Amino acid sequence: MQSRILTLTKLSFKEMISKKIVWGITGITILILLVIILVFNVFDVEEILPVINMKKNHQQTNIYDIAATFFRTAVSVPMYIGGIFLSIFTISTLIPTILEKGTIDFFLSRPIKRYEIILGEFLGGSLMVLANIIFLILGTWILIGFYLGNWEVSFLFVIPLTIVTFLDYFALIILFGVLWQNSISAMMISYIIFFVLGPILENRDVFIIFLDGKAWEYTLNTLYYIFPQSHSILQLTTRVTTSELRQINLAELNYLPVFVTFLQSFIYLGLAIFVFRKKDY
Amino acid sequence: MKTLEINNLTKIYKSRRQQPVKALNNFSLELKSGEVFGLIGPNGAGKTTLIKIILGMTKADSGEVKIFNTDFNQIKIKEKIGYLPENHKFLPYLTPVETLKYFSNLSNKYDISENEIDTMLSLVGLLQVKKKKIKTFSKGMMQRLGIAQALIHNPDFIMLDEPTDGVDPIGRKEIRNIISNLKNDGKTILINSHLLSEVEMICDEIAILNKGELIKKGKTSEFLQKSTSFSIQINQDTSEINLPSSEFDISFLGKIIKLNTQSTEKLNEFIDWLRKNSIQIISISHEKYNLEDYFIKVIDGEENAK
Repeated sequence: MQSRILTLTKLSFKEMISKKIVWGITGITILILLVIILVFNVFDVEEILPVINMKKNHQQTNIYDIAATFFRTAVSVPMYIGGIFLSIFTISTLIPTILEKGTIDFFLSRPIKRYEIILGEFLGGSLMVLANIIFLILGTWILIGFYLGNWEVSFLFVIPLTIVTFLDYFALIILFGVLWQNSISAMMISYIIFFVLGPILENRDVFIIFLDGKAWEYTLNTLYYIFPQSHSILQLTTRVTTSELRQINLAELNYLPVFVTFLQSFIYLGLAIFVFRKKDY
Repeated sequence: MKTLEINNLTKIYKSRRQQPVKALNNFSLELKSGEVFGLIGPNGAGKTTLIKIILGMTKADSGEVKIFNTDFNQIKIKEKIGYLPENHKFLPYLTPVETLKYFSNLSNKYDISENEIDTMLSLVGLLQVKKKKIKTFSKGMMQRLGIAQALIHNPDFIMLDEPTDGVDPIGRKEIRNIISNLKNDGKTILINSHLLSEVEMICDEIAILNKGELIKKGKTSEFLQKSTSFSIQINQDTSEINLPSSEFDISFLGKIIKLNTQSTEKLNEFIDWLRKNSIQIISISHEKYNLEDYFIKVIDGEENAK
């Protein structure tokens, strides 16, 4: 069984690396790290600080720590938003491709259980994206440590935060893919959830004031727990990245969105497997 | 020994917007081991549904399927099955070697060697392009690879849905040879094809399906009866001759006369008449019903009966 999942994982990974966009993402990751190296080699930290206009607010803090926080934020926040955006685009075709009439027949006619196909796609599709996330954050952390002498470990916590969000969206896309077998629909709905529904649900308290009534409150709160809590995790990412400068105690942060999002991945995948097992091909 | 046993299989496709469609209606069939079996029928007869139920890709509403005397729901039985789907689509980013390796692994055959893959590719005539990406392949090449993936794990029961689709005449002959060799190796082969001339040439037994029901099943020779007519080609147009239509049961068009009779005496009488009237005979042939004639006759008869 493990070997069949491994074969399916390899196949899915092979499809990922056959896409130009995946290499584009890897190229961007490498470019970001090269830009950081270039900035550190060309400019002195004293020269960078006035440009980023951070020193005046943090007179008491070591200038190297300020610069480190700046670079960490400049990498992690765009990576979180851009990374999720690009990965939705990349992975949305995986399941519809394999479920396509004429392709799925090759798989279902073999001694493979249907859940193995879903798991294989999930694992294989995740590998390349996870590698990029780890490479960028770890690379940034090492460069900042090397050039600025700041080895703040809490920054590495951005890796699991981004991965949890990505995996949740991937599981959701698999569910949509199984339901509709259409990559465009899966992609568009995921974008709507990430860019429209996410911010609304994150700020649902404000909307509840305007949308008077218990029904609205109940609906928005329910939707908040149904869909990925990506914007709550984005806020968490920002706090983790700037925790050193803003003296935030990481232990006191609210990690419930991370656990809910993590749990959702299993529920979405479970639902996808359930629907897939029931379908006729 | 039986390779396949199907008992009272029924499948109804239900849709919210349309009337339910009975794809298979109490369908029963048996396939003996080592035979090449042809499944024919018009579009929508239920042939592909039947194959998909056997493979567990579509669920039947009722009935029973046994493969090598084992319930078809036992997933391990699929190790013994090879399948070529109709209108298949390979993963375009793979090469033939990678495709065969992956599909062999997915059939629980992990120890496939490069040599075995090369032998299979050589068998289907794709050895020269073994490292080319599939996205560059023509339809015929895809079909050859489709056959290779169905055979790569050395299955005992092979189901081929339109095996010669998109393949040129030379390729079709090669595929017929492959099927013939598989039969000699004792494999059971189920062929679903629209090319009735191919089915006629390859299959030992044939079943005709229509609207989910088995219309007729029998040995191929039973479907290929001699007809009761002779076709006579002459050297002049029949419109220029006053043919003896009252004495003989004939029909004619251009330089061809069709004489409907089983009697050779009647045939000779007609030849005498032609020679007496100085009409040169170019050729005479005893017409045969081929599978296509039989198929059309049976399906038309079914339609008229309903």
